Amino acid sequence: MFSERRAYSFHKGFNSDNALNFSKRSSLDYEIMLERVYPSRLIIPMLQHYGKECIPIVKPGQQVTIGQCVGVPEQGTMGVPVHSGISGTVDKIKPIVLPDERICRAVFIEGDRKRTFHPSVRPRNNVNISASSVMGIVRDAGIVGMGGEGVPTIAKINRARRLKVKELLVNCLQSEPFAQSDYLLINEYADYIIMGAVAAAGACGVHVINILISKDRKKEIMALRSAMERSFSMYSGFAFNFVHLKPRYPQGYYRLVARALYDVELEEGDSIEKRCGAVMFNCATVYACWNAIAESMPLVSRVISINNEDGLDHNVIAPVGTPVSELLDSVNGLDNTSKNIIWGNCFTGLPVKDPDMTPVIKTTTGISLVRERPDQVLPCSGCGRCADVCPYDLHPNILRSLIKAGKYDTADDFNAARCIACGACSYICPANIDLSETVGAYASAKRKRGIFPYNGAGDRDLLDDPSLLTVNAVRADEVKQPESDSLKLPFEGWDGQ
Amino acid sequence: MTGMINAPYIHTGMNGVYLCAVRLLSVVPLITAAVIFYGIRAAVLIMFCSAAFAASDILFDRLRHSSRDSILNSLYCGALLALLLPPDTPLYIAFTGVLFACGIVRHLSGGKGSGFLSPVAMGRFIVRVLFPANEGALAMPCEGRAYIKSLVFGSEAYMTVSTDEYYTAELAVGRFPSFLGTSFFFLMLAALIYLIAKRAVKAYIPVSYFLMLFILMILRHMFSGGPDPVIFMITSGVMFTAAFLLNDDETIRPFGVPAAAQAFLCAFLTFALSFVTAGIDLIVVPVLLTGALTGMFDYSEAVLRAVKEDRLRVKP
Repeated sequence: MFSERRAYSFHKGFNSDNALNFSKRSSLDYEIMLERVYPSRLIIPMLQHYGKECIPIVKPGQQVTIGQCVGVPEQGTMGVPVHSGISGTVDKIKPIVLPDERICRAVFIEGDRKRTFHPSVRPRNNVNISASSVMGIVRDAGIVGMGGEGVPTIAKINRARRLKVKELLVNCLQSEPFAQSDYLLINEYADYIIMGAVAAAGACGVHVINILISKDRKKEIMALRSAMERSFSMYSGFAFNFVHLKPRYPQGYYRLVARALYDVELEEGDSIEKRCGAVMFNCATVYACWNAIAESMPLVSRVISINNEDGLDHNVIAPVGTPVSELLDSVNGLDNTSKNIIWGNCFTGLPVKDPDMTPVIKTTTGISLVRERPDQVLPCSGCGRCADVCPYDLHPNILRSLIKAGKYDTADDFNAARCIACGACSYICPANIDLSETVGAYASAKRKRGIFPYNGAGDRDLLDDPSLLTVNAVRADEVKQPESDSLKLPFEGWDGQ
Repeated sequence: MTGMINAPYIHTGMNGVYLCAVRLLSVVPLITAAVIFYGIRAAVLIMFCSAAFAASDILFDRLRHSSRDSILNSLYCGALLALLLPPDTPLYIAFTGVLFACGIVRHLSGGKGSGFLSPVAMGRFIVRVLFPANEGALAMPCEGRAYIKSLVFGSEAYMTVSTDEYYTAELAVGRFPSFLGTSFFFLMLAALIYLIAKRAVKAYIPVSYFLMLFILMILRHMFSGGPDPVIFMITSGVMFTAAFLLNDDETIRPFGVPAAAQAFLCAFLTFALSFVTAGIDLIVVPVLLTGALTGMFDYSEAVLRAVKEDRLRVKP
C-alpha cells in the first residue's frame, strides 16, 4: 500500500526540542487541543499571497456570509481570491500595514454571530472530479502555500505540469520550535491530507506521493497510515511513500529537502521542480485543497499555534482575518501582558505593533508570545557555535564582521547571499548577537537587487507569470473521471480568468 | 507591547554569561584545594590574578572603545593563569603574566575571539620565558600555609617537579610539589565532567586529546621504556590542558571535525615535547602551537578559497 524509507538529513541545524529543553514542558503533545475561534470581527487583507493585491468586490454595509468571496485579483495579475470567514456586515474598507510591511486594502467585517454559510458551501456529492476541475477549485478557493510561502497553489500546479514533474512531496516537516499547527492538523484531519495529496497529485499529473515527516512523529505517522488504509480504494493508481527525516530545524525548507531527498544542491534561480522533478506542498495546503473539493469551502480558516514561551500552548482553528488581539483573548489562561507578540513562530516571525489592527492571514502558522530579551549583547568570542548549526555551512560570525566592515565582495566569496535567515545562529550564539539579522538582511537585499534571483520558492520569473493561474486543459490519460459535477462554487464576482 | 526586537525571539539559555559562570564554578574545587594545600599565598595569588585580569580587561576595553565581555570570563581566565603558576610566585611576576595575557595577546590581537593564541597559555608561557628561575618556586603541599613572604620576594628554596619520591596515592591526590592547580587530577577530571554535563564543552575534544596522548604514552612505554603512562597522565598536568585550555572558545574550534583534529594535533605535540621537556612546557606549549598552526591553516584556507572562487566565478 505504501513504502517507507529514511532520508539522510543535513548534519547541522539543531534538534529544536533538545535545544529548547522541552523536557521541562511536560507532555506538551497531550496538553494541546484544537479549539475553534469565533471572532466578532474580521480584517481581511487583500494581499495574503505571493503576487498582486486583490480588488474588494464588497461595499460597506453589505451583508456577507461564510465562504463568500470579498476580493478578486485584477485581470492579468498574479493572485487568488479571498473570502469571508464569518457572516456579518462589511464595516469599512481601508488600507492596513501588515507586520511584513506590506500595505494593502483590507475589508473590515463586523460579525453577526449567526454563522450563516454561503448557499454554495455544502458537501460535494461526487468527489471523483477531473484534474482540471481540481485546478479550478483550488484556484477559486483562493488556496495558497500555507507553510508561509504564500504562492498560489494553482500556480505551483501549473508550473509542475509545465515542467512535467514526477513526484509530489507533502511537507509535514514543521520543525520550528513550539510550532504545532501542522501536527495538530495531521492528527485531526489525516484523511483530508491524504485525499488532498491525491487530488493535488492528480492535478499535477503525477502518481508518486512522498510524505515527508520527522521520524520522531510517531502519532502523526500512525494517523496518516490509518488514513491511507481507510481511503485506499479511493486513490488506487497513486503510490504513497513515507520519507522519514531527522527532527532538525530548519529541515522543512525546500532547499534542504532537495538536499536530503535528491542530493541536489539548489543554486540561485533553481527550483525543486526543475532540478528534482518534484513539486512540494505543505500538508496544510493539501488539506485546504480537499476541504475545498469535498466541502466546497474556500480557504477561510486555518490552524494556528499560539505559542507562549512560558509553556502554555494552544492550537486553534481561526478564520483568516481574525485580529491577533481577538485570537489571544479567545484563549483562556493566556497572559499576554508585558510580552512581545510575534506574527508567526519564534524563529521566523515578525513583531506585531498593533494587535487590534493586525490580522492572521492564510500563511500565518502561529502567533507567539515571547518575553523581551533581557540578555546583554557580549562581544563575539569566535566560539564557532553559529557555524556549527548553520544548515548552509556558512560562518555567520565572520560574515557579520565582513558585512559590518563593508567588505561585501569577501562576504559574497563566503556565500553570504545563501543565508535563509533561519535564525539558528542567533539562537545559539552565547554572546546574544543578532547574526541572522545582519546576514539575513544582506542576503535578502542581494536577492531583491536581482543579483541572486531566487526567492523562497525559487524561479521568481516563472512565478510572476499570471498565465500560471489559468486552468489548462488536461490530457486524457491524466483524467480519472472527466465528469465534473455541477455544483456552483461560492465565488461570486470572480470570473476565473 | 515592548520595544521592537528581531527574530529569533527566543534564545538558548546557554548564553555567554552562563558559560562563563559554569566555567568559573568548575575551577572552584581546584582553587579550594590549592588554598588548602598551599595556604594564604595561594588564595592571594589567585584573587590577585583574577582581579588583575578583570581590571586589565576593563582598562583595555575602554582604551579600545570595545564592548565589554562578562566579567566572569576575566575572573575565570585570571584564575586559570594563577592555577598554572608555582605556589611561591611573587605578585609582580603574576602581574606580568596577566598583562601579557590580557593586554598583549587578547587585546592587541583585536579582543576576545580575534586571536588564535590562548591568552592564558601565552601569559603563562611569557612568565616561563621571562622568569625561568620562578619555575622552581614550588613548595611542599600542606606545609607553611601561613607563609606569605613569597608573594613579594619569591621562593627561598627552589624545587623541581619530581614525582619519583612519592607514592602513587600521594600523586593521585596531588601531594607533590607542583603548580597551584595542576596536580589535582581527580578534581580536574570532575571539573571536566561537570563542564560536559553542563554542555559548556563537547566531550570529544578533551576525550580525543586525552585518549590519544594516553595511547601514545603507552606505546612509548612499551617500546622505549618511557615514564609510566598512568603516572604521567596523572602528574604531568595534561588533564589541565584537557579540561580547561583545550576548551577555550576563544582560540580552539569548539565543534566538529576541526576541533577533534586540533585535539589530536595537541596530543601529538604534547607527546613529542615529552621527550625533551616537562613541567609547564607540556601544558601550555602544545596548546599555543596548536593555536598557531590552526591560525595559519585558517588563513591559508581563506586565501586559497578566495583565489579559487575568483578563478571559478562565471563572469556575466
